[in-house]
Amino acid sequence: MESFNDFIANLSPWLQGLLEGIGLPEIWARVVILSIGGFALAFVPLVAVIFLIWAARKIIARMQDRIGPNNSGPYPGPYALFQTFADAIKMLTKEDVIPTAADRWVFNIAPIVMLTVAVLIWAVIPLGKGITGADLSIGIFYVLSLGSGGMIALMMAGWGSNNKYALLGALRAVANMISYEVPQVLSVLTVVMIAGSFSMQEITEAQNIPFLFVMPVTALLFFVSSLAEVGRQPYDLLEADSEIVAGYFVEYSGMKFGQFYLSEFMNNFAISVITATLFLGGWRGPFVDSVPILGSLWLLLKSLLVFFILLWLWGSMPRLRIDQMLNFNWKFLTPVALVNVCVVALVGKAVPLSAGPWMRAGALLSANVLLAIAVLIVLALAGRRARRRAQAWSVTQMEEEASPA
Amino acid sequence: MTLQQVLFIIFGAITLGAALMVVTRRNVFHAALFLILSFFGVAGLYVLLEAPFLAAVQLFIYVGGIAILILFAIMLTRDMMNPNVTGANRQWWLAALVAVALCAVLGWTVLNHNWAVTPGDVPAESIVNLGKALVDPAGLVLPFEVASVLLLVALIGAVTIARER
Repeated sequence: MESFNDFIANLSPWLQGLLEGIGLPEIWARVVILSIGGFALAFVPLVAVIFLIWAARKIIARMQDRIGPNNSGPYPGPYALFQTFADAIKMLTKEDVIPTAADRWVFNIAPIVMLTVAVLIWAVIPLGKGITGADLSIGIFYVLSLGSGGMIALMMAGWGSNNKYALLGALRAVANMISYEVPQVLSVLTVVMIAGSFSMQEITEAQNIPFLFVMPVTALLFFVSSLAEVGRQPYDLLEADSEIVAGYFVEYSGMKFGQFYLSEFMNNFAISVITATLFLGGWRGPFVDSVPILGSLWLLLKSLLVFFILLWLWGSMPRLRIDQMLNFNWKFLTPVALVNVCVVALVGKAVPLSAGPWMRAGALLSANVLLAIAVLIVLALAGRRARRRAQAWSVTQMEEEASPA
Repeated sequence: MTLQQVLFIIFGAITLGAALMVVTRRNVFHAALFLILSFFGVAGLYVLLEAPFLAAVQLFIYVGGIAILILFAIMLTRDMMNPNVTGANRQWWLAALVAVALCAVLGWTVLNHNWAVTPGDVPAESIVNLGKALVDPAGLVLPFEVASVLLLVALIGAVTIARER
């Protein structure tokens, strides 16, 4: 195990020596090594997603009292593990249909942009102690700013298809992403305030107590708004098949559809990993100090736990209407996120780091719990008022019916 | 030629080439997409200048906010994509005047400013310095707070409009 860790750490100097030995100038050796690293990093999510698609099909099938892909029938591999490979081969061999009236360039580039953005996120995710593609000082902010690239890809797909359903889907998707970006960014802001850094590694290092137990409201806000960002149930109205067929990728076939499907899954897994990193302590866990490579395993387990919750929602939640979705964001999530930022900032300043980590965490946790209770009380009052108004309305309706003018 | 210079030329070419396409395309949607590409090129230049925060802000604000707004405006405006409608209207000479004036001011600034071209050391913690400068009473706290309050008001205004009676 120890040697494996050294293996990763020593790989780059060793390769550098090897490449310079065969006569490459130092700078080009560096370029080759960075490219290899980039490819390796891009393969992590791609390979993970191939099996996650299988897991998602299997788990959701069980939730819906089905068996899903299995040993019987034509599925390849034990427990149909290789079904996704078969799907990929099928997609690669299918005819690539481009609508006559489509904006060809925009139509063809959109899936590439989408997949590029989905892969780029993985550059800053800390996969273990000291194992990061690039430990940028702006880490989490880089992830958030990449989201805008995804929006552009959706717009390109929706517009380029020259199909009203695709355009409607893209408009819905972008409205969704723009509005839920607000609570997402505000919840990330509180994490950054408490951790004192944008860097994903430093945020992980700052979590002696996982932030889920320090700021549960923030964690919930982040997870919910991230679900909306990637358009997962209950926010899947951007591809609502009963209303707009499949939304922005309705005109795509073959591997272009595959690219959208793949990047969607990669984004889902990415928000699971990011939630695990920001709120569950990332790669931190028992025995990581003695066996650092164990950190990757902890991160994987935590991410899979979050991913399972995502699948759970996927398998059990009905779809929101667009007005419900926007109302939920602007009337509920955004105000709560704003108040949350104020609360965390005040408590974080009132109980300084010198008061000890437990003291600070306890203060933040109690403030967060109080905030949650206050939010629930406000919700209960608003609900009661709405019920009373509905009741009054139905009473007047009945009176009008009883005494026709 | 160092790697930095190669990358600078690539990003510069992307920025300028895309900017040229923005003003020459007849298709407004394509022009908007090239504008986005140009923003990406500028973000790359920021990264080369070791200002990653500014690069991310460039993507976040210009691509995620302004470019999306432009795309929405194009999609929701009638006759915008009609090839028979020319891009110019009766105010073209006014626009040309403003463009020439802006170009003159920028050119004058570029030529007359004393640019530090020696490769100085970029402070390692530039983002920390930026953060401190933004809340420093002797620094930029007033414009920073004014902008923050303005944005907060806009946000709360959006919530208020959403809560129609």
